[in-house]
Amino acid sequence: MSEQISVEQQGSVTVIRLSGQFIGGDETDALREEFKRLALVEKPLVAVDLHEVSYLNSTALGVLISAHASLSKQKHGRVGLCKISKNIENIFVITKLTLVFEMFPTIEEAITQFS
Amino acid sequence: MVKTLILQSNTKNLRYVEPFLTEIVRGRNMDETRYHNVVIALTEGVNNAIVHGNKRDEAKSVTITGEVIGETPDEILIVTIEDSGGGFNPDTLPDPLAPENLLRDGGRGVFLMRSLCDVAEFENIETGCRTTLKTRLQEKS
Repeated sequence: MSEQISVEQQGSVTVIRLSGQFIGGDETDALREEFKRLALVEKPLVAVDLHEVSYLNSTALGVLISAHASLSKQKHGRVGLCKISKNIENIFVITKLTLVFEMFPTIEEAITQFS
Repeated sequence: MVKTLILQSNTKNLRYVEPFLTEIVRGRNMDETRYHNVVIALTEGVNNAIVHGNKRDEAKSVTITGEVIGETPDEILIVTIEDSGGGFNPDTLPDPLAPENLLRDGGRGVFLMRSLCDVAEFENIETGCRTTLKTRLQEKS
């Protein structure tokens, strides 16, 4: 796994913490693989911490959308995006993806909502 | 002065984009949000050039140039990206904001370039495709 991705289990919720640039390189491929692994679980509950992400482009957005489709729609789980910085949030706003994703100000709030 | 970066067509090389941009605007007073936006836009352009233009053929390269023109507070960053592909017509791309396209996992690159820069132009040239991004360093007062 990329050193820009860490995964921990908090009760029933998997917390994925991302850091640095997610712009379509190896780090984005590694994130895609992590979500594929989670798609093997029934009703996966996933909170993605974006606080330390410096840049996120459309390739990474595509990975998050695929995760939303496979984990939320097909596996009846939930994917929440947490602690999004103002600049990163702007990318979700202009692409209207705020209409697609559940967003939370903190990891704890996502866990509370999911549990 | 125009600076140039030449990358092999491998998405691993996207990591060189931001340091290149940092070098171009070094010593200048660029608005933080504008800088963030142009980094994203530039990664979109270079990614398109590598993946769609050069089809990830590492024998082909992507050439990026950048310069700042004008005087404070009207300086403009101009970046170009050239690939060896067959080009495309940006006006025929599906609208990524249309409800039926919102859940597509691709198709937002050109939209983001246009949204995040003051100007994003796409030309089919003799040797491939050229993308030109222009953005002011500061908001217009």
